[in-house]
Formats: sequence, structure tokens, C-alpha cells
Amino acid sequence: MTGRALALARLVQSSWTVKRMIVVPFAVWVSAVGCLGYEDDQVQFGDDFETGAATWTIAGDVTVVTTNHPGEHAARLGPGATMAHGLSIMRTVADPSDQYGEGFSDGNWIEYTTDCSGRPALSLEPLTTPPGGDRSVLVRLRLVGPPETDFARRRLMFPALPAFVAWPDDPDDPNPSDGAYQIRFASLVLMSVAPCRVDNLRVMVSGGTLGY
Amino acid sequence: MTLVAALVLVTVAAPATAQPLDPYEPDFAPPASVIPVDAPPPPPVMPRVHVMIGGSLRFTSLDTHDQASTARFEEYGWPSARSPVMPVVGGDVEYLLAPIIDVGVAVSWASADHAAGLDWMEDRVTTTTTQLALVARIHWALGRPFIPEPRVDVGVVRRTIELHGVPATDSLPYLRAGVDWRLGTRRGGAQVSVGYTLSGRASPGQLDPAIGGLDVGIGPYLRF
Repeated sequence: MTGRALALARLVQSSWTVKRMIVVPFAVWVSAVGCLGYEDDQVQFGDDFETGAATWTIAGDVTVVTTNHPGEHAARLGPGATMAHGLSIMRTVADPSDQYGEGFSDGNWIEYTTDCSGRPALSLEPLTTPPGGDRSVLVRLRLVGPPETDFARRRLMFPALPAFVAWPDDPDDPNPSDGAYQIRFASLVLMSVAPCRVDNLRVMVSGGTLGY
Repeated sequence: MTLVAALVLVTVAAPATAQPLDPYEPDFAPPASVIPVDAPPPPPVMPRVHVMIGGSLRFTSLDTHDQASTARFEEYGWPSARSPVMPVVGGDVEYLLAPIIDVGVAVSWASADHAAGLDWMEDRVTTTTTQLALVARIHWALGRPFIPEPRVDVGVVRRTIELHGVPATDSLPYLRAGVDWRLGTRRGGAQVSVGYTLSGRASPGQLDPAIGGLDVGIGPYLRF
């Protein structure tokens, strides 16, 4: 009789243990492991080079190569190579004297994956002559190198709008207005000093609570 | 003559009936002659083969390589990366009559997404694994259920990483240490398995999603 009671108790204990073994990992999974989702930052321009680089204007040694997987491609820029692509990113710039306005002069950033170390440089340049005639801006990214084994993600904030972009209250502004006005990021230019691979290139602006 | 015969009978039978009582035997105990005695159990028939087919969940976020795996995806620009819970389907067959251990083979298959791109519903990195291993399990329970039995798997995992619709395959060694726990009879029932898998690493510069970690599984088993 005692043996049967012990066996029954052992069976109950084991069934509870089994329940715990199933329930606890499931709860841990639900609470600790998230789902693949999306980020709320807005991609205003992007290229993953999976279909080549035919939409770019290329000067120098630029090829599309595989990287860390046969299905993953990147643009490889040889030393001194340049590649350019048109942009159509409009930015509304409010009157900076309006304390309730959105008179930010920056907010975009560029991010990309590269195997090149060194300190890259991101600059804004006038696209037209005379500078600022139509408030079109060229974005230039200069990669330095040298190349390394692993890839890393780089994020560079756009610098503040340069002086060649005239403000609305500028008496020399050919297109004066009373309040907010727009500028346009019209071209993106990549250039490299060393042989560098670039992939998943994006021009971003914040979304969500920080978006505007 | 009749009296003599009766005395002889009493003398012969006396030792059997005149034994002293056990002082510790309770008064209400029945005489020993009426206590039922079980027949000796027949020797257990030892099954030769163990077959199990089941499913499990592998928590790759508990892989030692989890953070490096996720970081490698994120560093390459995948907006969303994780070490997922991989559903696993598998089975194993063991020979039970080897000394000390059961020996056999195990096969399993698993698949899950490790990263997602901007088009996060469509652009995903899917990892599929097919594992083949030699199994050694200590049979200290001698066939009895409800006693956990330590187990070690040593084998090769064939890992296929599909990215942008292009698959790439590599093979890695792996080691799994765990416990099998049979809930049932000597012949059949459900088997609960818990184990931890360590796998080899890809070469630097290559994608290397985590495929090891803790797994918990259950499935029916049969021994014959």
C-alpha cells in the first residue's frame, strides 16, 4: 500500500514537473523573445544594391560584389571612384525666430554598412550656381578606409544647413517668403579614398515621437 | 498399538507445532501459513530498440553565440534581428542492449527567421538546420521509466541560410548534452527531453546565425 502511495505521489510530482517544464519556457519565450518588427524611422532614400548599381552615375572603378552571403551584394568603390544618385528629399525649414516653429536646420542622417574603417566625412554642398539659387543641396559622403574583415554599420548626422542656403529674411534671398520654406536634398555622392564596400545605404529621418 | 502409533505421530509432529512465538509478532497477525506469498516475478523482458519521434522548441536566445549573431546582422544593416525560438521536428533510434549506454542515431530538422529587412514581412533571413548525430545515453534506469537518463549527442548540423531568395549551406559540428525522461511504461509512453546544444562557428566575415541553445521537447516513444 505504501509503495502504491509513493508511486502515485511520484506520478503527481512528475506531472507537475512536466507542466512546469512546458509552461515556464513558454512564458519566458513570450516575455523575453520579441518578434521581428519594423522600426518607425522613415527611409527617405535607400539602396541595397541587390539589383546592381545601374541607377547610379559612376565614375571610376565601381563594381557590385557579394559580401557575407551569396545572396548579399554591395557596391565596391575602388580608390578615387565616385558614384552619384539623385535625391528628392524636401525639407521644410521654419522661421528660426519662431519659438514654436520647427526651425530645425538638421535632422536627417545617413547610414550604411561598410568594411572600411577610418573616419568618414559627410558634407552638404551647393548643387547649383550661384549657390542656393533654388535651395538644392548636394550630400557628399567620403569614405576613407582601409578595408577590414568585418562589416560595421555607420551612421552620420547631416551637418547643419550651410550658409549658402539663404534664410527667408535674408535681403539677398531671390525667393523671399514670410514663414517656412523648403530646401531640397537633390543629389547623393559617394567617393572613396581606399577600396571600400558599401551596402544598405539609407538616408533617414526620425519617425515616431521625434518625427516632424 | 494404536496408542503407540499416536505417540509416534505426536513426537514427529511436535517440532512443527511447538515453535516459540515471535515476541514481536502482533497478536492479530495471521499465522504464517495463511499469509499470501507472491510468486517470484518473471524476469523482465528487455527491449532491444528504442524509437522516438517528437517535437521540441529550441531557444536560440540562450545560445552562447546569441549576441554576436544578432550583432552581426544588425551591423550589416538588417533593421530587425533576433535569435528566435526554433520549432524542431526529429526522432531517434537507439540500441538498448549495449553495456552501460544506449547507442543510436538522432535526426532533427528546424527552421526559423533570424532577421528582417525594411520589407519586414517579405525580406527575411531564414535559417534551416538538419542535424544528424550519434547518441549515447546512460541506461542506469535499466529500462524503468520515470528516471531521467543523461544523454550526449555528437554530430553535424547542415545549416542553410536563405537571404534575398538565395540559399547558402554550410556544415558545422555540434554537441548536445541533455536528459531524456520517459513517462510511461517499459514499452511505450511519452518522452520528455531537455538539452543544451553547442555548435561550431562560421568563419569571420560570414553570416553566423545562432542555432544552438536550450531545447525542450516531447514525443511518443516505443520500445520493442
